[in-house]
Amino acid sequence: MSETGTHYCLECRKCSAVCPIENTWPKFSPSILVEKALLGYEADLLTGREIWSCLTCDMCSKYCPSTVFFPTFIQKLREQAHLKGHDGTCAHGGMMHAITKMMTYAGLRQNRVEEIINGHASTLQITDKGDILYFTGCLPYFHYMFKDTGIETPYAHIADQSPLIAQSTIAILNKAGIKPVLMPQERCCGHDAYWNGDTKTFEKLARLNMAAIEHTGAKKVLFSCPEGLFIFKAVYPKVVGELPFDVVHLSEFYNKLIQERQLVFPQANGEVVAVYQDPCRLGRQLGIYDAPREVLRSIPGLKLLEFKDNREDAICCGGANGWIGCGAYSKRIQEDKLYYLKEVDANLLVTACPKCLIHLNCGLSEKLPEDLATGEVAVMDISVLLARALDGGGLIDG
Amino acid sequence: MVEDVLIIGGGVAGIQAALDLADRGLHVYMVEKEPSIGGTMALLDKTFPTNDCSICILAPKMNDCAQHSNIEILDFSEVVGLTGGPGDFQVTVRRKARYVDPVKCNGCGVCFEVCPVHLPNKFDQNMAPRGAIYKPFPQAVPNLALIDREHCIDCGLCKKYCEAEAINFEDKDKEVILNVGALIVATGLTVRRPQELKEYGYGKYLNVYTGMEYERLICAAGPTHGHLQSAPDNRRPKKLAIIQCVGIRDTRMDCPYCASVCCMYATKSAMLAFEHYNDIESYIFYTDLRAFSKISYEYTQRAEAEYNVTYINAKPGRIREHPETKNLIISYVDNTSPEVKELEVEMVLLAMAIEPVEGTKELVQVLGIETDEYGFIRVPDPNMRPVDTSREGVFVAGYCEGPKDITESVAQASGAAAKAAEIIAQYGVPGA
Repeated sequence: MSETGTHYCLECRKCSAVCPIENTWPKFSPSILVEKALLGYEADLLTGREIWSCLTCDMCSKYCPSTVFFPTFIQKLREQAHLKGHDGTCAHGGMMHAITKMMTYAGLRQNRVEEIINGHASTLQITDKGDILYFTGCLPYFHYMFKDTGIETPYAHIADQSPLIAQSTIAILNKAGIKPVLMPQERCCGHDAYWNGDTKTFEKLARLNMAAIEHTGAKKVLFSCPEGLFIFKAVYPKVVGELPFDVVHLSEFYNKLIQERQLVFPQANGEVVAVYQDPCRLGRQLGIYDAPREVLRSIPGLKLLEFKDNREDAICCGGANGWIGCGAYSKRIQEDKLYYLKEVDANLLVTACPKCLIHLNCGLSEKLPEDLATGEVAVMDISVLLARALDGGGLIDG
Repeated sequence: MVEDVLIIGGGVAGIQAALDLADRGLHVYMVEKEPSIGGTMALLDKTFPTNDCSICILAPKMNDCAQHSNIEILDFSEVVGLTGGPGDFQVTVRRKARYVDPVKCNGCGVCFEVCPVHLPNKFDQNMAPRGAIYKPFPQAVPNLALIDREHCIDCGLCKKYCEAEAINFEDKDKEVILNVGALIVATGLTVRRPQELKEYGYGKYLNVYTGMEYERLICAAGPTHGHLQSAPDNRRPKKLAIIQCVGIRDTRMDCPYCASVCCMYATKSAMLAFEHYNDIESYIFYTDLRAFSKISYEYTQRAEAEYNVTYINAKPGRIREHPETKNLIISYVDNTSPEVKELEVEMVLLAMAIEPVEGTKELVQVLGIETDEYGFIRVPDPNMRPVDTSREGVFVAGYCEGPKDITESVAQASGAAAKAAEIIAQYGVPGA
């Protein structure tokens, strides 16, 4: 409790007023959770469902006048609950949690690089030792989870989107003359294990990843996924000490390459009106707001608009919760997001987080009420969009 | 024998200390940074808990200072050096140029009318204009004009129309050295501007004001002559919300302390609104209702019972502006249920953080005294020596020492005056 500052709570309930969940589902209330903890009802919290409902999106902490670190408070509670045998329910049949656990086996053999390079070996240049490493995270595995959903999006089947992010990233890096290291034995970053309170699994994964990265000699590690970046930057040092390499989000790296003119755009091919979704981990929790916007603004033919609530105030897509409980409130938040999307009148929603991408695409694919139908809106990862822009093809199909 | 005391700051605390000392026969120099004495109290409309007119109480005291044979006001001046010790301090004071001869000017105001320059008037919280030649407010003491040379266009109209021939464009800053036995620091407060806190939309939404701006709006002598008006059509608001603890009791803003006056002035503001329009509803969003001194609690109860005031125990999360009506929609969670509620009002007041006045940091360097971590002047022994700073012979009174209301500031000022007089008596050698 002292670590998370809950003792300083003023009971002003500002957190509750801005919480995206409490705004759709009043049974979840960050202020009541803190109050219960302060009054000594911790045991109830550990067995209850509430602690698993928090998106850990950090909106409450940003507004808290007492700087209570609410997501950390939730993480600590989940850690204790997990030790007592209480866990959240994985929204995707336990698959992500199972993959995470599997990744802790020391002798594990993976085909992760093949999953990405598959069919593109002649065009995508990668290496196994070098300065710049691309940490692909869950990207090689997402498509197994979403293969059967049948969700079609305007430019790619949802199952093809995650490998496409990785392929696009490698293609962009190659264009700038960089041959990134891809690790065949990279492990799950442990983000979800950490937020699910499974600290033991998280720590094992952290150590395995550190050993693997050290083996490649990498000095800079690039991430598509803000969750991976967050966990390396903010939590790994607590387990493994100071990192001997830089960790960078690809949007920052792209921005640098564009400014140094190592990436040059061909002429605009058509026009697109885009809006950018700030991922919680990248924005509020790591403070990276401008790099992705600068990348987008540099794309010829792209006009960038903003959501009403953006940057520090950006509302979570509804999925930032380590795959626990994509319940009714998650759906509501997703729907609200689509309303906002309609409000800004954009035809492209760009994310810098693969999980936002999946969650929002899933929302778009559903049968939506009449007043919510957004027309032809694509949700696209920033790497995929940038690769298309650099190729000079249309930014979106159709 | 040195029988002089220097008081820095001509607000209500400085004025009280000066009058106390002067009345017991000691000579006082009152150094005021602004062109007029009066401080924060001069710009309040009414004072709690009696709802008396603030300037009506203060102006006679300001004039007493000006006319007292034992008080010399060094207006528009700053202390820039201090040497010596108790009983024998040498203080260097910079007297900023007013460009108006203080002997010849009679404050008639003809020059304000002919000046073609329009600038925001700080006294009216930048909501009303003033010229490049101006007087900060009608009851200003000393009753003299001054020229803001930075914005003056040298048109010479003031000089042409001034019958007293008081305009002096050649005026220069001067330094004077004063010999005093003791000093009292009573530099007061400043209200933090709320722009940094995006969530309440100050500066972006038309109908969001600070508590201090409201003091001028509700004042009959203010920019709207006491009429409350809501944008975009200047309609009279029917619902008023006041949000407490904005940027204060807030660790994000490095301001975790309580300003100690807001619960009461918010209540006062709501009461004044009702006194102007008896159908107005006021909502006060509070964190803890700190109505602790004598008759304060009763004051809040009276507000609820007789003045249409509702207290809501919540800090709102966000305020949104209705795109057409410009009404403000406040979302909050109160202590009755976990639902996120909304309240639509026509005007919002923010009870902002209150800090030591700008320049305190530089002044304490000059004086060689300590401050606490928030910039308030430190009193090493707050229990037994509550007006003694860390330097012997230098005393403190009012908000610059820590959050307090007018009553407490005045009491502390009398305390500081007594201690300063004691120093004079202790160190003064008759005939020396």
